[in-house]
Amino acid sequence: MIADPPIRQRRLRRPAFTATRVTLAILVGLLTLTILPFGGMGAWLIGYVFLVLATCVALRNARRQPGSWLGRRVVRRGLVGLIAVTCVVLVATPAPSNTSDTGSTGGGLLLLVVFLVVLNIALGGATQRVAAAPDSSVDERQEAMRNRAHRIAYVVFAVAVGGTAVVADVASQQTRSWLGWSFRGGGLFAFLELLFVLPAMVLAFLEPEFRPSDVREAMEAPRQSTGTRIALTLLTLTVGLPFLMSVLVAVLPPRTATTIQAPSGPLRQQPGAPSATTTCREFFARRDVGYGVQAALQLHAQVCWDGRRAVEDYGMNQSDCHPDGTDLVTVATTQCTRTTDAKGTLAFTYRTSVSSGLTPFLTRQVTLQLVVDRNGNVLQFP
Amino acid sequence: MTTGNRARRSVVETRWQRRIAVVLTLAVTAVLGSNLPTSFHGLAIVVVLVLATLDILLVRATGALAFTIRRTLDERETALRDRAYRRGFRLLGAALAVALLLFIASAYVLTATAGPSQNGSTPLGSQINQVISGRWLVAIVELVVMLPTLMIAWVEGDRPEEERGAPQPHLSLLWLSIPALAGAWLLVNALAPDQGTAPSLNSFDTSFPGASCAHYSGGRVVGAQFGATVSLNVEVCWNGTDAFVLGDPSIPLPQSAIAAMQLPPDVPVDNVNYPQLDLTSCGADTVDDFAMVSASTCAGTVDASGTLHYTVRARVSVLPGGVDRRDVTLSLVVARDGRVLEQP
Repeated sequence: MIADPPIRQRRLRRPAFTATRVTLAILVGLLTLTILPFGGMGAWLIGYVFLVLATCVALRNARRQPGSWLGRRVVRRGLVGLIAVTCVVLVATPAPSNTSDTGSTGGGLLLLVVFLVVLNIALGGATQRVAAAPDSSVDERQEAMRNRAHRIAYVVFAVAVGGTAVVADVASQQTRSWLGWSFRGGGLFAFLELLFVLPAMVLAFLEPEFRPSDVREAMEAPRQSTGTRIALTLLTLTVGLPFLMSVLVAVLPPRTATTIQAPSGPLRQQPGAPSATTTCREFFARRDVGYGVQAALQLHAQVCWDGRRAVEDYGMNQSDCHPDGTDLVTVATTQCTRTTDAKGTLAFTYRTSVSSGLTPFLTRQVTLQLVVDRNGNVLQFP
Repeated sequence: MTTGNRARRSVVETRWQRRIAVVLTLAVTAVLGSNLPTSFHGLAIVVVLVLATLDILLVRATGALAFTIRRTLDERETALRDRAYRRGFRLLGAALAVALLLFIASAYVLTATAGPSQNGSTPLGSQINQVISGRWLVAIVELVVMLPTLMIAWVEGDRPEEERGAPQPHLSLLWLSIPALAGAWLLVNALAPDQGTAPSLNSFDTSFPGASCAHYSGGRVVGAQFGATVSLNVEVCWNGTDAFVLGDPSIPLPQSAIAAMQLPPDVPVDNVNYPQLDLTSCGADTVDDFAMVSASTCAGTVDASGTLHYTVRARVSVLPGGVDRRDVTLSLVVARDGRVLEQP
């Protein structure tokens, strides 16, 4: 049973550099360095990571209030079971790749991570975050209990994570591929979850049932402090932001940038391409949909014309119909066609259906189109 | 307690001796977990045995408290053990994060100071999917298994002679683990079947006039990560007449490829078919920490039907002098239409 921890008479100054803080700082630093090269998307991700961290800090500093039902043993054990199942599903979830099916995997992964965050917050409430509390704020019984929980968690971690990694790394090519594949996807989140939360899970599992008097005390405690309100606001933002950004994909208009310029490289001299009186132009268009949860589609083509007809030099083929970048969205190509009509007008259409992995029922059609007549007049772009 | 008994107890008896052993253990682990040196050239097992020796000294010095699950521990010992696990758990995360940082930092330092090695390999740019190399695996296992013992060895103070428990003769049996470890390493290298490796995400593709190209990378792991890895990295192009290797001037281009380039008469072929180590490299990504790899050769020939036969050969030996040498051959056969007839 976990009661409100009494304040010790002699308050010890909390060290600025704890192992957990150093670990978090290094991981956040590495994450920042990893995602910075991704430009706008990187900035969104970094911002979200810091929001999650701020939420964690706010929750940690909020007044601990033992909930009447969260503190029940059966609920706590149910939470632990749910977290374990989520971790198993995460391990089986591959990394998103930069292909058109990115969104389904990336969205599912994000959904699982958000779900895990919610479960962790509930677990923190159920155990009153005793597992990670500073030494000065736990009594002797709690300290003994959490030390024991850490010992058990250590063994579980060594066997479950260390054992799995060692066996998978040496057993065969298939297991090694699985390990690398998993660690680039949900496996990394499962690893971090166990690294930071497993002791709390063990604690929640081992703790005995609340006594009725504790529940009564909890019910009589003041309901909310300012810190709690801030923490709840940040929590709502953390959980709600991915969904809000997913809806924005379908609601906000796409952002478009275009450039038309003289050819920057040599012509490819396609069979049948105009030659003597040829004029060419390079067309570049980019459409971005959404913020954070987003897709970028681009058209980069070169068109030549000679007064009889316009022809494609490059950039208007099936292999050119692919997204330039997708983050947590599904991009499905619905049309990719190039036609030349009897008047010699060249038309290229690249149409996609974009939807967030979190809200797959909301889709947006995005079209990039280039139509050039035989005299080089641009009739449609993009 | 007699002097003789005390001598048998441990050579790291005092707190400072234990702390020195802890620092040494962490330093050796850091060496294994970093990229420095880039290769142990078959001598990593010596480092592992040194690490095991330090571990045994520390386990004996702490009375194997971290591994004791007996209920006979007194209250102080139980509290010390459990507290060590709690701090150890927190430090484990920090240690793994620091190890990752060390790995990346040393890789960048190596690349910045020396550039890619002669065979084109860079620590962060391996084209084969090693996932966790043998030396890294040892470092991780060392941290996971030994951190609680390191914590106990670090924090426990010197105790008066009368408070020390009786010597535990059964802990002397731990020394047997040194020859057992060496024996297991030899056995794994002798008996474990060779394994293939998949390509990593670090491969590159290129283009060639009138031809399609694809990159092939793969390897053979000898000794299940505790031996050596021989790798194959090659860029192959095909034009319907011939399949050929690109990026290695020691393997000449076929006439059909040279003709497609339409080179001016005064431009030699070597100006176009120059070494491109990110495409084709002989011996890149070879891992020889726990076993020696020698006599690496790469050869490519195009037969009369235009099929490319590319072969990598290397010799792997665990023991000095190469008495147990094993020849490893990797073959890639690509037809003139791009069909892969054989690959590692």
